[in-house]
Amino acid sequence: MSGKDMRTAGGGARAAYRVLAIVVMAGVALQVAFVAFGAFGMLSDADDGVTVDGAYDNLGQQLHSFGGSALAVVVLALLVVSFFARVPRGRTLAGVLTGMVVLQFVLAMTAYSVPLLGTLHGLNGLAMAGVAGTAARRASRAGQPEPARAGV
Amino acid sequence: MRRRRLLLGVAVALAVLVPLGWLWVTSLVPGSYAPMEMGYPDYGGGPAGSMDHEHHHGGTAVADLTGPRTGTPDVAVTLVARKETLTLASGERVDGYTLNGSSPGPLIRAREGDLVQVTLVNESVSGGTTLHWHGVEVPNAEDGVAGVTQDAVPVGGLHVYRFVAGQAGTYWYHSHQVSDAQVRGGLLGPLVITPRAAASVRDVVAVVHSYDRRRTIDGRTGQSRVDVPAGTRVRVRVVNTDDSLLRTGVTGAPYRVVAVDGRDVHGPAPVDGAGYRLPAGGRVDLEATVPSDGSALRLDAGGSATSLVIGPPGARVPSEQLGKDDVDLLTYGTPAPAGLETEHPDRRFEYRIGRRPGFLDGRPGLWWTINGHKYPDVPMFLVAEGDVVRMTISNGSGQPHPMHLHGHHALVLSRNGTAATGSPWWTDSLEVADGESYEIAFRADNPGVWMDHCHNLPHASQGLVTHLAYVGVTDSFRIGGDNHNDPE
Repeated sequence: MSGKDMRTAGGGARAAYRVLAIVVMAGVALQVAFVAFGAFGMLSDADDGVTVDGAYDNLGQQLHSFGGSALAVVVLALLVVSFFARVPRGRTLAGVLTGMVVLQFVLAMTAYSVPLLGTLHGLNGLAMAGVAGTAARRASRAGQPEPARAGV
Repeated sequence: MRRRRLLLGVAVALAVLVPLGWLWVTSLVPGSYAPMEMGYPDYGGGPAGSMDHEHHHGGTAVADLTGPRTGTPDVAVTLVARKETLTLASGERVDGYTLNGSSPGPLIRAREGDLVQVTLVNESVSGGTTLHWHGVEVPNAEDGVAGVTQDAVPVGGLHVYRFVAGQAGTYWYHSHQVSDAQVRGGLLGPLVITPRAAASVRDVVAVVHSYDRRRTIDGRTGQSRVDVPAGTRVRVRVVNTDDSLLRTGVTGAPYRVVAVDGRDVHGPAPVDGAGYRLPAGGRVDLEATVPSDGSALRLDAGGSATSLVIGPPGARVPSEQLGKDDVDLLTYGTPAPAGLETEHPDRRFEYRIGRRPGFLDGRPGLWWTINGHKYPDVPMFLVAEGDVVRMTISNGSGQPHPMHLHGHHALVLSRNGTAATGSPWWTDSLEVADGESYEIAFRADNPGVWMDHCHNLPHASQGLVTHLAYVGVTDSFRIGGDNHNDPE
């Protein structure tokens, strides 16, 4: 592979990195929306006489559960892409996000019996959006010409 | 420099993708497999005997472990299973399953020692169906588990179950083919075995089931009534056919918990205002006397919105709610000899429930584990006839699990290390909450291959299933295959 090809591939990977990081941010926003959908859905069902017990779930909760797995896949993809993309601290940020995803699953599982941990699950989720935002910004800046970067 | 970076990237990509791919491939479940080939044998410290896990020659076949093949049945019932839109007793219409046109299906009542014969006819349950006798210690071939003790009965087919009614108590029957969907849809009914001597108590059966996510008692939503004269002693047989714990109890008068899972409680003390936590699949018999002051009894099924008012017509409905306390079977009742020597068991098993992310048959998700293994790579508990078995069931999976062992009743010895001090507590459906650990014991006195699974049926379909098998018993039934056996 020639040096030019490498640069082009690096630029493509950087664009992919940026898109994946933005998808993580958007995904976190959707996850928050699904939680609210699920909570209000449960209250509405309870008002309608639906049995809300251990076996209960609703569309909002199902979307949130599916969204969690989908976000994990996106973050893994981001981690892989980070090794091809030339983004300052790009690998570190992707690694941190991967760790936060693992923590998110652990918190989700333990929160069933210790609901208070659900608050950390929510905060960790928002923090993920923050880290993904930083990652996306770094990828945009890295793509800009040198002078612009120097001016920051 | 760039080349090294690229190589590193490829290495990381492979480091992520290769294990994922490997986990995915190894999670795939074959299209057809024998329950006996599943997982790995766990002999619990006992001898392996004549049986080896991959070896199926000789021994007794599950299909031969039937009830009496001859003799005139004392109770003969034909149950016709249909998939249809059914009208609940309270009027709502739901899509589900019926037996003889109704759900819950007809009450089957037998006396201890009666020969019971049930002919199951599948008229229109596509995908096939079976009937499992939950809590009844039937011979293995009558247990009704598709792919383990029989083939699913196809549309147009029939299957005859014959067994001698064992110990008096409250039981139920339900499909064990695609049981998650079929039980939820109502393919179930109550079974009551009574002592041969007539009882002086009025029996009320309360089958609790949620149709289309609406909880009912005997197919009625909301509050329904049973007319019983004042002063009558009533035995309410509560059956939890749903997937999660049900808080029940009687208000309007003190009640006693006289039987649990078809086994009498010794020395049951009066309970005033406390609730009773009934596990999924479990049954409890509550006894109370209808007051003579013009008021009625009220049996709650998870709050008073779904309840059964028991009393004379027009009797005042009690307004009080169940209190915060619950009956704890670990200390309830008075001790008595349990008839099981548990100090020197022949085998000791561990049934440790966990959960971890991964693939199940290629699907990513959070999946249950048994002793750290995911379905179908789970332990197969092997016992010999006559063994006394101790088992520790512990749960660190984050969610509660109502554990159901087929074909046996187990004695609860302790919870979280605290010994049971009340009445002998025999159970077939034991709620194990997250973080809890129960030690139980049972006598292996019913040869065969028996499911040992979570009765939150979606959990079972997500792999929280294993088997208890007797050495020397062979099983030719297969899960999957041409009969589309799918027990969960």
